[in-house]
Amino acid sequence: MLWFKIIIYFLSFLIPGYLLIWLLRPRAPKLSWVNLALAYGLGSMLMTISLFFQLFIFKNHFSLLSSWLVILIEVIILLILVIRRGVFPRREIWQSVFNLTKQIKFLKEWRSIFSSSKRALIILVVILILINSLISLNNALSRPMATFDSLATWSWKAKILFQETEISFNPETFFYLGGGGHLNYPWHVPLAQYWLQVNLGTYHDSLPNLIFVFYFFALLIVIFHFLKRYLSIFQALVFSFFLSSMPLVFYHAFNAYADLSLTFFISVALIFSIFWLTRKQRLDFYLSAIFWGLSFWVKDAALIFYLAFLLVFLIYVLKKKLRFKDWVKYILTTLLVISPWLIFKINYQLSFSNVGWSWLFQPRAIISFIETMFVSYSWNIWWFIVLIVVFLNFKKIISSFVQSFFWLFLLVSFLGLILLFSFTPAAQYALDNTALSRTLIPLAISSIMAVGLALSRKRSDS
Amino acid sequence: MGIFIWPAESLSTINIIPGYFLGRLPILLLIGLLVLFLSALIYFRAQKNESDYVDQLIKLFLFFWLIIFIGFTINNYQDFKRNYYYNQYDLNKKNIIRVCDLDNVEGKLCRLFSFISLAKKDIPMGSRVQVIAEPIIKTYLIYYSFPYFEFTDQEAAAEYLLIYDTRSIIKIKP
Repeated sequence: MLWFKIIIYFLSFLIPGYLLIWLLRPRAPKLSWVNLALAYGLGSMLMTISLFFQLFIFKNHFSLLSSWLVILIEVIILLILVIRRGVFPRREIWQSVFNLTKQIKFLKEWRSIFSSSKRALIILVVILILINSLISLNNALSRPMATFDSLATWSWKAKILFQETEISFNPETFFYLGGGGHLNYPWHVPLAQYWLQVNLGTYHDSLPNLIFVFYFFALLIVIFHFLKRYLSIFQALVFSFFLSSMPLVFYHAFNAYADLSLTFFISVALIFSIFWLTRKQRLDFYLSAIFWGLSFWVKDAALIFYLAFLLVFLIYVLKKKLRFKDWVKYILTTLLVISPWLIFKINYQLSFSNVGWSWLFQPRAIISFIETMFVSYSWNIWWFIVLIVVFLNFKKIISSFVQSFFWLFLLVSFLGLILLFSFTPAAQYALDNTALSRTLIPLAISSIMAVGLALSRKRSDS
Repeated sequence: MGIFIWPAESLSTINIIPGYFLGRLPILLLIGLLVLFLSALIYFRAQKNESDYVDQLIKLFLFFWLIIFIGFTINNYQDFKRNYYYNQYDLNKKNIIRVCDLDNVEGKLCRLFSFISLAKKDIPMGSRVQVIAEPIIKTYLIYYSFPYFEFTDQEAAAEYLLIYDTRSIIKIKP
């Protein structure tokens, strides 16, 4: 019965997520792995935003029945739209189930494609990725949530809501605006956990870890899918293996923190932005802006990366390589997606920062950056790889429109983080080595894409 | 604790995974600089021969990645074994075991559960309680004793004060 409830939970957002992704990517293969990963992120976001409206905007008591009714209505509306726009999969669905036919064909031919040593390396890397995935799943199922921020914020908010069944809007109460360590934090992660708990019918201390381990798998899928476009299978698999075995990223896969979910949305936003810069299709442009908007529902740290992206966009507008009109449209699309949460924040005077704003310089914070990137085991040798790839491909990077845009984004994001952690009161999180490394996760994963682009022998601008 | 072996949950802060040193030199930095040097060799040799270097470079990265990965795998193997230990118990006991594994505040977190049991015996269910403890301990205390107690930040509104310090005592408000 427990597993049945868990399956129902996942279906509750995978079905609307799939329908939504069929509408948004009408020409992509319907049941591909990448669509499954995108449906997971989009569907769970749709679910939590619906819950946010019920609990925070309409200020209702939670009702399981009405929540399921909302899902049913969403599914019916999406289904009608999918059928009317002719994007409902028919015969091809069985031929393209997770690209199985293509994959079987590849397995039949792979002896002639790769040398025996490369085949051995591919097998090794695939086995290691599978082992990492299984261990993260096993850890998620075996270990209850107990890491600090989870109990202080992400799971604590879900636990309070599970008990109270409504949000308190009385500032005098202990559970004002849902309680928890930081009232200003977005609600995607707590509400995703809450939705699981209410469907289980009991507060469970370890099953919500599944949410994060599946974000980890979804991230692996989208990054592999992206790299495969620019690199060989072997090369794409090696970089996916690096992602799956970066110790800090791996550890986040089975702990209830928001950083991995944030990374998923930022990564997808960046992937669509690269597609837009390459193919110049409006759909990619809007999808990129939408996913940036969704990242704000996960964690406030999205702001640093988004501002960096906008700044680089503006630089390219000033260089007359992109249009100002598009820059404005991009911001408006993102704002539209964030607007309910942003209006709520403004209405209840919730800030983006936990420590207030003032300027002070903490040079030791810079040393913390160096320590976490080049001394700690958090990233294996990843940051060395990034430096090497930049040095060896510098000319190629600056001469490519897409690559220079993307690498500049990484640089500006990194400088933004240095500014935040060295010149503001947030420096305390760098000095005590708490939030600093975690905040680098989106940057680390984005740099995997950038490295893939830089090493590609295909033209990334075409 | 060996060079490649972390004790159970030593990575628990999920903030930074400490590196190791050879004397005063960080091992990761040594490996990184070696990779940098070898990458340059591969690149210049490929430039000379006018051949493609990407596959060779990626194989080099993979080789050195796997060195640190050994420690990661040993740690995972230990975690995997630890999970068998976890899975013998119900969820309440699992909570206690994990929090004890995570404890880096001299056992104060681990002892919290017996403190909460005692508090539940002495204070009626649903009482309004103010918790006084170190911030980290307070977070764990409130999380694991909710919803048995109601909580408040205001002393005047509290029916009981729950004070957890080195002596772990319960003070009942007169």
